[in-house]
Amino acid sequence: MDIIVCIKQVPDPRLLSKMKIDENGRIDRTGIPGVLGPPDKSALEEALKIKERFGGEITVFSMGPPQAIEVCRDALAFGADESILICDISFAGSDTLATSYVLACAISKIKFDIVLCGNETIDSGTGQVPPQLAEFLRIPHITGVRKIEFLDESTVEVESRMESDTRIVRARVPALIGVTKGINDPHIPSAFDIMNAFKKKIIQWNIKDIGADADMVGSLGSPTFVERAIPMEQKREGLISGDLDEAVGEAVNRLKRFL
Amino acid sequence: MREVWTFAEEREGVIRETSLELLSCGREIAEKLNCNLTAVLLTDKGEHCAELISRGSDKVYLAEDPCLNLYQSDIYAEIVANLAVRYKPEVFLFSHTSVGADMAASVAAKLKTGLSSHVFKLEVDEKGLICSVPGFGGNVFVIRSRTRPQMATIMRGSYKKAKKIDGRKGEIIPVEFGEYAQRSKIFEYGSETLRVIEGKESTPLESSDIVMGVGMGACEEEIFKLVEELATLLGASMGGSRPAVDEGFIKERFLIGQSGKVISPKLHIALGISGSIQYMMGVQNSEFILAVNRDRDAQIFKFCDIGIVGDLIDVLPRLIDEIKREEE
Repeated sequence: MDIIVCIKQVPDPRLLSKMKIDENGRIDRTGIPGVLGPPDKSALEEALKIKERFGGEITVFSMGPPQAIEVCRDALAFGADESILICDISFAGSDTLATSYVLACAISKIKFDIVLCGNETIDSGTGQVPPQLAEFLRIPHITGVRKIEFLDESTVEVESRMESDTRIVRARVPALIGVTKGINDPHIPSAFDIMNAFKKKIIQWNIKDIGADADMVGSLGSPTFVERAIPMEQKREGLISGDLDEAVGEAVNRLKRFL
Repeated sequence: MREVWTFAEEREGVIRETSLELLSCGREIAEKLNCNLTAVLLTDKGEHCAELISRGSDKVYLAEDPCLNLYQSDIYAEIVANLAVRYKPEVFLFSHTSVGADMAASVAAKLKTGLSSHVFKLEVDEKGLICSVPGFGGNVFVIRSRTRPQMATIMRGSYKKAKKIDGRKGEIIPVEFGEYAQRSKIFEYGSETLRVIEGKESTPLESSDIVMGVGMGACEEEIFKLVEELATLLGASMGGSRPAVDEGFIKERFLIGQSGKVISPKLHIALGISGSIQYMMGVQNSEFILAVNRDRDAQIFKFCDIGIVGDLIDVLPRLIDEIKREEE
């Protein structure tokens, strides 16, 4: 079974709150390392499980700037057979629709049975790409998935979370599945795996390689855009006290009515 | 005639509360655009049309068929997108629930139009919708769309439920689709939802008067023990931010914020929480917020009523002692 996993380089989740942006909403990532997002790792781990059962190849796709080659390498260390970075200056400013289009153009170039994605990225977290990618690929999709079980090589049954409820969904391959972080406990690649990943070549594809229409990518091909960034309204006084003992005393004094 | 559309989500024969919140949001926009508000309902029994009308819809597009009793992602999106192609709404709104987010993304891709997610404030001017969504670094992003319909998913809790007005009149328009009318066709078409298992609707987070929020700064065994002691002392329930969930200290269903629970307790105690907007979206309706963080510049101090700068390992024992003394 040939498996595709889509990944994205995201800012280190521990440092998300340190991220700065300018007023046009452009993110300044200086000093914030880019990593493989936690849901993407879970998608990769599921891919390994499927491969173990049915065989086949795991191909990873990532659309991003040249430095996203790092997560493509991480994916190889994680166990992927091939990593493809889709990178072109014309992709800059792509929103989810344009991103999904680009990924779909690239994925259409190869044979696949199942596409796995992290359900949502940890940076913008819209969760739009998995359903939109499925639309461009014209295959069924299931999002919010926390359990995957193949009944046979062509039929998959999954558990999808719907707030506190659970939806049991069956689909025939090819299909796209958006996995949530809790679906498994991703392994940590060994030093040996990491070293080996450096020996493999990471394929890079540009807009011509994937045959994408230039009018449908980048900021010009994106229907949405960030018009501006404004500080969040502060509705509270945000008093900070000095000396610890005093501060705690004062805090508890103000909390009295809740105790 | 221009229209503002909202998707009405029904589950277990009940219209979701978030869909009623969506009606107030849609009503505001429809009034400003001076146009009709329409609800789109896919169901096996169209008995809720009257409720949607009494709560502000001028029209209901009703797709009614036994095969629509459960959410079928591929078919639902197809029916709704076809409807939008035919009637060309100006604005199309969904709630940001599992179903709403999933469907809105598919429909937007089918219509090749823009979609803003997690909108907590929706306004409109001559250029179109102004969508405020949580951003980074204490900022809110304002998103615009160049295409029509303009689509958005609205974060739950951002609008009050639309009030019922007795005797309000509206029109119900049946939607013809037919093609999927047989249950057996669903699987051929795409994926098929076989059944829905009902879970426990709420966690203690939503009903507690006091909720403690655990952040990255509290994710150390020694500190966490003190956090638990404080929670027991206060009879508080405990949730946490995304990093605390990722670290394994807090279970996913106790996640607070944009993609987790939205709570409104009397008292919220944020411990080692940096105060990202995604988190604040979940707690901003708390009556009172106390924050403890060792970083004086942490964003949480902009959004709390009282803040203590200090290491949790020093602050928590003092807090526990002081509260014990108070309770005696």
